[in-house]
Amino acid sequence: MDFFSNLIGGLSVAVQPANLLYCFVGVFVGTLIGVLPGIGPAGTMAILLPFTYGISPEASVIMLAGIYYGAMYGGSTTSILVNIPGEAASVVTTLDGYQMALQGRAGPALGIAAFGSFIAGTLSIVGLQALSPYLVSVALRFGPAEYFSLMILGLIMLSYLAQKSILKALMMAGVGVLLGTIGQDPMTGGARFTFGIPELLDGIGIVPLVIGIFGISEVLMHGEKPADQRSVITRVSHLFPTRRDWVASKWAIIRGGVLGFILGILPGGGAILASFVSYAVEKRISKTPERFGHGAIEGVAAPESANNAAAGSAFIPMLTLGIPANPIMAILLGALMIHGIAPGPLLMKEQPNLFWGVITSMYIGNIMLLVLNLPLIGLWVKLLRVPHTILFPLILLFCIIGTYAENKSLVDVALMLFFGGFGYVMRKFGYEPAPLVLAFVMGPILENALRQALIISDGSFHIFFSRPISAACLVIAAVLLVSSFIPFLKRKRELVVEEVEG
Amino acid sequence: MKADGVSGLFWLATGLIGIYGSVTLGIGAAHDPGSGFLPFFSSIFISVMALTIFIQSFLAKGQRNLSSLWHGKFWKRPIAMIIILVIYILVFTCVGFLISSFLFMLTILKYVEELSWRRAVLISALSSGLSYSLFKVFLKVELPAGLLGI
Repeated sequence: MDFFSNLIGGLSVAVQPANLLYCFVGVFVGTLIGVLPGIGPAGTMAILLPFTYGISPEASVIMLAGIYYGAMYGGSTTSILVNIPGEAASVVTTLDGYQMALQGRAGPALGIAAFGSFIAGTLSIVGLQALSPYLVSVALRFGPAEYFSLMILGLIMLSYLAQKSILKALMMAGVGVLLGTIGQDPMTGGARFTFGIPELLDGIGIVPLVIGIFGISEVLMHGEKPADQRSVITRVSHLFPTRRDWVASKWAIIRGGVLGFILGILPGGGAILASFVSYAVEKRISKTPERFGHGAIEGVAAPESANNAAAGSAFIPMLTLGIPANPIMAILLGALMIHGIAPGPLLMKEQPNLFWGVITSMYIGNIMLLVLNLPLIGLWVKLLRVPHTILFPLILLFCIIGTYAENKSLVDVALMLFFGGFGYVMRKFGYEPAPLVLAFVMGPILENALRQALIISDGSFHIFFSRPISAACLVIAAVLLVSSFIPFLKRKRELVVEEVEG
Repeated sequence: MKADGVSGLFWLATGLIGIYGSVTLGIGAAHDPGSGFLPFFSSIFISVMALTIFIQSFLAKGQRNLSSLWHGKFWKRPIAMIIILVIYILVFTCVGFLISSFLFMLTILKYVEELSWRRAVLISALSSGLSYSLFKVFLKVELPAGLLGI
């Protein structure tokens, strides 16, 4: 009964004309940036964040969420038609999607990606809606020790799942925590690492950091590559998959959806991880694994379903605990905080319109996306013809405007450029940016939780091990860490990455 | 030198500076953590990781050299983009959004992307004009008026 009353309550918010409009803008922009390589959902959401100040918190989160799950749909189009992932969660879709397109089956590949995304995405929202109230009741029992340990687990999990070196990912997490301490000490009010710059007293803004690291550095990385000569497949027909395609894909969609949902909830997880794991699972259990990489439709259905399911379930820790599971959720957390709303166990009770409105808007957003990505696919195919030589300078221009718009501060713009250059050099040296951004956002929450827990326990670290949830999180984190350095298990982990990479 | 050796040294220096800064701030005690408590432990963590990466760069096989990171890449283009961005930011407020954005796009399109003059001018005018209309006129973002006063 609660499920339906929440649904109706949420629907009454989601169908308000302004919210419908922002939902459409979100999924449209999401599809757009998903299709266009060079900028992903994190950078786009950061650019648009300052423009959400003037609108209601419901509308701003509905729009930003739409960008995230919209990008999951759009990303597949570029992967299938150009063999370049539009965003990171569609990397694996290139493996079989582009092969299908080369065989003249671009239509069914795009069709199954859109239908799979819709089915798994919708199921994930049902799960999000059904599970959230229970998780809120669990979350209410969380104290500072549990928060601290869960965040540590999230950071270690994200580093463990890094595609490159775990050591480097852990290092980035450490740097992120340190960067997060810049500004005023939340407890004493004293300045920390501000180097006499008054603008740094409020800390480094999430907008310049994210736009620099995910926007500018991405363009710089593309800039050093030779112009891409790969051809764009522009003929798309027969978008509706055949009965045979459906038979081949139905379990892949369901498995991808379930896996994506679970991996999306995990701290440190998210859409990118979900797409990789679901592809590896499909290949592993297939009776004909040799077809993978040569145009197997399950190789498109599974990761595309998984990344949409994960995009939905990633909202669970953010909305119920106030802990972002990945950098994109961290930006959404920032959006809520700008409006003076602190996400956490009390959000559902104190802001039911926001909580259920945002969740319910995702059902509507998914329907909009199905329309945007099937009948209107021709529009996006045309967009793929926009040359990178024009696209990337435009992204740079938007990065500047987005950062400046937040505080009208040139210091922010300079910081953004600094993080852009820094991100570029770090990527060259094999350091992934995601753990840094997540740790940066979690840093202040982590610090508060750590200091509060220690004050409660009168300085005893025993508090982190005597409370069951906290102890469990730390044990899992320790097992992950230790296993990543045991040679046998290290090789296993590398094999999974290699298998996924083809 | 190996690339990881260089990055390891850089992060080791960062970690050590962080430790010094945290101690200056005051670490406090476990029952009363000070401002430098978390920065201190994260800086130690960074230093340990950095040292491990640095040592590993000598022991592990298949390590890349520093020069190989930019081998076969158009490395001058990112540098050019950064320089143009710095100049753009410096003149952004005094010259104004419209003119500085037009010149920024023109410089990148002409000298980095090597488009023809005609296309570069056309795209720069269109992109700066449209973004001005979208952000300043439609979204009411306060962008610097500068020389033109708009």
